[in-house]
Amino acid sequence: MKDKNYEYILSVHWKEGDDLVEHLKAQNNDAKKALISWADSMDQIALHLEKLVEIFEGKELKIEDATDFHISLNGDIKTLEQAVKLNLIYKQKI
Amino acid sequence: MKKDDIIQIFSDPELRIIKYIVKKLANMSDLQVLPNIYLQDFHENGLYFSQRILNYVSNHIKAQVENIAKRKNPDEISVLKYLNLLRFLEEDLKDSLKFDYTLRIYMKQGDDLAWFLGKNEGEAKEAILDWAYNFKWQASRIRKLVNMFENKELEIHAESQYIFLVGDIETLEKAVDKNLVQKEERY
Repeated sequence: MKDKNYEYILSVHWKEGDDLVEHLKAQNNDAKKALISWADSMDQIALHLEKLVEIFEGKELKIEDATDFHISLNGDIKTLEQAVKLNLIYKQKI
Repeated sequence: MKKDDIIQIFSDPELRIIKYIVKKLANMSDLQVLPNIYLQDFHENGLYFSQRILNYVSNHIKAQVENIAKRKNPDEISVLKYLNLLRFLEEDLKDSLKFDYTLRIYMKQGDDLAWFLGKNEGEAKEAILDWAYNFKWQASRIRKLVNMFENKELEIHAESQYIFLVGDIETLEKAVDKNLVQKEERY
C-alpha cells in the first residue's frame, strides 16, 4: 500500500480551452494545425494511460480519489514507484 | 459645444471594438467637417449617439458592426451586446448570433475519470483503459472535424473550459449534424 506521507498523482490534461490555446500558440494561431496537434496529444495521453495499466498487470491498482482536477492512485507500492520513475505519475508530499 | 453633438462612449482600453469603431469614425470625411464631435469616457448603458451624429454615421456604424458580427468572435459579440450595438444589425445576422458553435472534448480530468470508474463498476484498470479509449475516439473526431474544413475557413476562440469555433457556417452546421460540434444558444 502507499506511503502515508505521499500521494501518487495522475495528471494528463488541464482545462480543454487552455490546453487548446497552448497548441494554438505553438502552431502560430493556425486553427486546423492546432486541432491536429491537440488530437495527437490525446493519442499520447491514451498511450500514457495504457502504459500505466500495463505495468500494473497482476498488481493491485486503485483510484483513491478522482474529483475535479485531482486524481490520486493507490495500490502496489513498488509498481507505483516504478510508475513515478517512468514519469507516468508523480509523487507529492501530503 | 452643443449637448446634441456629444458622443458618449466607453473607452476601456480592453475594449478593442470601441477603438476600432472610433478609429473608423474618425476617418470618415463627413465627421471631419463636424466641429463639435466630442468623445467622452463615460456611461453605463452603452454607446450612444445623438440623432444628429447618428444621421452622419449610422451607415458606417452598421457596416462596422456587421463586420464584427460576421467574425462571430464571442468576446466581440458580448461587447457589441454590452454596448447596445446589435440594434444596427439586420434580423437574420442578429439571429445568427444567438448561437455559438462549441467544441466539447473533455471536462475536469478527475470528474471524467470518476465517470469512467462508475461506468466500470469501480474497477480502476478497466476505467483507465476506457478513459484511454475515449481519448483516442475524441482525437479521431477532431481529425474528422479538421478534414471537413479543408479549404474552408475555421477559427478558434478558446479560454479556460470553453472552445468556440468560428468559420464557414455551412460546414459548421454539417459538423453539428455529425455531432462533432455543439450548437448552443447564446442568450
